[in-house]
Amino acid sequence: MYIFSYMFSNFDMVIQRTLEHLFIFFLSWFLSSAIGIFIGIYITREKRKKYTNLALSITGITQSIPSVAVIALIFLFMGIGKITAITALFLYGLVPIIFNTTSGIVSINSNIYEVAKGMGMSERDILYKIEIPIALPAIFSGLRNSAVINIATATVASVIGGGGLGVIIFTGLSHYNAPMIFAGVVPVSILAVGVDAFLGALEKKYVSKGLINEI
Amino acid sequence: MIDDGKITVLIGPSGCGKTTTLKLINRLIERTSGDIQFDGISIDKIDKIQLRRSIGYVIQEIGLFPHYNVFENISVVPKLLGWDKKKIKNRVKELIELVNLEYDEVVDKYPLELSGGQRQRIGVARALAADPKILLMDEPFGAIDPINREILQDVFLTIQERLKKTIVFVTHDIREAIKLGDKIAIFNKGTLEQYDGTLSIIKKPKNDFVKNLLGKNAELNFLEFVKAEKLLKNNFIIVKSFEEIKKLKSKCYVFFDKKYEGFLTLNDVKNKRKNLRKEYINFDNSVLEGINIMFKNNIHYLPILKKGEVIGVLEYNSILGE
Repeated sequence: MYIFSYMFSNFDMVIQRTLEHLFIFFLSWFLSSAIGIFIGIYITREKRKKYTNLALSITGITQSIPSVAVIALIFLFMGIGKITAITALFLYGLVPIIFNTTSGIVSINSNIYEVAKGMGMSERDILYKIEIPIALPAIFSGLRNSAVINIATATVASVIGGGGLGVIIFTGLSHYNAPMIFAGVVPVSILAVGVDAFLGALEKKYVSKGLINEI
Repeated sequence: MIDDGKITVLIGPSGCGKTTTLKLINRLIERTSGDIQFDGISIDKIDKIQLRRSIGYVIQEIGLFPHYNVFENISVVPKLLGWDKKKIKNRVKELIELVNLEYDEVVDKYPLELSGGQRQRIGVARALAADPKILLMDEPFGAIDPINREILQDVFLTIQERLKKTIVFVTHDIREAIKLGDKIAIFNKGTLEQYDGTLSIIKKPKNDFVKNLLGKNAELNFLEFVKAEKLLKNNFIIVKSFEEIKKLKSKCYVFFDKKYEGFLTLNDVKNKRKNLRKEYINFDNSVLEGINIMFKNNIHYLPILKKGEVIGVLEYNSILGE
């Protein structure tokens, strides 16, 4: 039980760091989601179809940039602080959401569009009743991906003043203090797994059963 | 001119413009010249969305929305038109039964859970949902195996017999065209080669292209899809016994006393044949089946029966003249 000693003796502080972590994560992830889905839909509209592939390549490539690089880069421009951390997390989390939303919509069979149009659906009808519901599994995987990456990256963002559980972990690392490292690692892991499970449950609820291939 | 209440088939090799013609009708592709009119009104004067909602549209298998179950798929257009829930439910039930499927069995299923044939039936049901006058069908049975295709075509013809929709049907299968089409339009490289009643095209192909497309067995193909009753002749006499055949007035004598017993042809009577020929054909069987029976038995006449009663005879010499 030695390993948990730090966590229990500093319980209030751990809780406070966890909430802080959750706050940075949620704010930046929420912005990424809203703006990312919007961009994904915007870029796939009929008149902008020719830019869709470009957007897919750009987001595809930028996904492989290490998160630390993005954090460092944003730090150069904005200096230290929570806003810097949130901005970096927002930008980094944006990429998988745009990528997945766009590819989800692009991969819809062209026959589906033709029939939808042929039946007299307006562009709005097609977006809300056809495109979004069919792309929803892809959108959800973008959201989950982004959330997990975000929670992990938020830990690193503590080095530029983001706060959160990263503070405990990095302090623990520099003192070679195992119980202290644990006090950061355990809640951050629970957070990541919990958020992913929660989104998984939402996905199960809102994605049409007809789109699940295992039937 | 496309006839009301009839099936007009557009046929031709790939890239000949048949699908394009279809899409011009519901304005998925806009015309650059010419005009298309419904009841005298140019389709340009009708709102695109309204126009499409009033035309049923069926394409190959994949046209069902994968995220909607059968009920939701069929109710798309009624919902767009703002029907109330009860009316939609009744209509969906009616349509599923119309296409010969079990309502309770399929209504909650998603396209992925249906067989190819079932999907296609639901596709037809969906196109009929808002009771459109016009139905556009783009190779609807193209992706289905031959056996099920025949079944679906038969179901489709039975439905059409009841509903009498104006149907424009695209196919590249000449057999399907002959089977389903009241009229056939033959396309090649963007031009209309011939447009006429199915029988007229078979009898008088306009040029070599049409002849090649029809193939060598067009007449026989056609006869396969014509029901015996369509070609029945009345040159027969009903008799009850041999004694009644005194003066030879007819080429065919049918023995009938409350129930069909058999028949004799003029030649049989001359040759003093004593046992009756027992062959016959049902009114809804195809003429080709009749010809087959005639060949097997070397006869030129065959009684046509409906519910056990003789309604006429099929006459070999007149079949090819029709």
